[in-house]
Amino acid sequence: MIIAAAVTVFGARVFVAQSKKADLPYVTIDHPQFIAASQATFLSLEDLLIGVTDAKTAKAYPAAILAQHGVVQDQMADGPIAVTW
Amino acid sequence: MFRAEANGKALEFDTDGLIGGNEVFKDRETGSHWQQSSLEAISGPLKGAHLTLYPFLLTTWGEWEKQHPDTLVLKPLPGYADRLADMNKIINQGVVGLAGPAPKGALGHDARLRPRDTIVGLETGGEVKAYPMAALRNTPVVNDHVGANPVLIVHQPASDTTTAFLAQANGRPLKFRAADAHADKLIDLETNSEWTAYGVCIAGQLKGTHLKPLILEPEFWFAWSEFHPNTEVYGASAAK
Repeated sequence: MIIAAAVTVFGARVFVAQSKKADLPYVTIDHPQFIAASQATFLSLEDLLIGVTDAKTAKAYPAAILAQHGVVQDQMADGPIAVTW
Repeated sequence: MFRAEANGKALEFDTDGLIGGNEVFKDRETGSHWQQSSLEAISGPLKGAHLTLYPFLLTTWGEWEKQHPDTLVLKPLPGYADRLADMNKIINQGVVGLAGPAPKGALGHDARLRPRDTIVGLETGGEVKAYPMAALRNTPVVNDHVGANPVLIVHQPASDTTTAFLAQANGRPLKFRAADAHADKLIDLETNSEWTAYGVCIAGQLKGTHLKPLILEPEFWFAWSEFHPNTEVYGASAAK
């Protein structure tokens, strides 16, 4: 059976019938964990992401993760942020 | 992408449905609802308050890693990791721009663009303007004005990455052209100095100067026009 999967792009829900997998909960990530660029083997060069920087750190939030969660709560040197997609 | 605070209070957010086809968030601290496109609290104790954009870049992994080799990467959670390839396919279609009508529940339609055309929105100098991605893909360097401000919009076709800056240095307005078809280097017309697509002057009289970055908001046209009814559109005739 093909399930109509809902995917968010730019804050809009785009429905595409494409998945044989059941939906996972579309919920905020409260405690994001990060890996080094060299470990991010799931990323291809052309994959989209949202990038942010502060005085010390650069962080990449892959769009394919954000689209499944809606919000990532995170902390930068200059305060708390909500990463949305 | 916004600072998770309003009126000096830290907030945490969950998604809570759609209005006008555009996502709504609910904060856990006050229960107020926030519209994604306008960043305004539309109901609850914080009604009328606004969230502030946090500077960010929408780009590809290849381009981001080139600019920030020491970057950290958000780790996908178990289960979600299995869907990344499927997600990327759908996201890429959406970001290019989709055919078809606005989603159910959209609040009317501004016919200057098609509903699912993608744009980057810019709010500066007291005005609001949308730059259609289709136009930027044809014109990688745009010298423009938004309200009182001279602005520079740069689109790098290789990674479909768009950046924007206040187009002035030392109080003097500047205009730019692409140094080549990649638009990863620019030349300003006033001093012939060389700049990166990230607003840093790397050669010439202005070497070491940084342009002030402006935050672009990538959105579908239907959502942007719903919640920014006074928006201008780059490339459209003056009629609103």
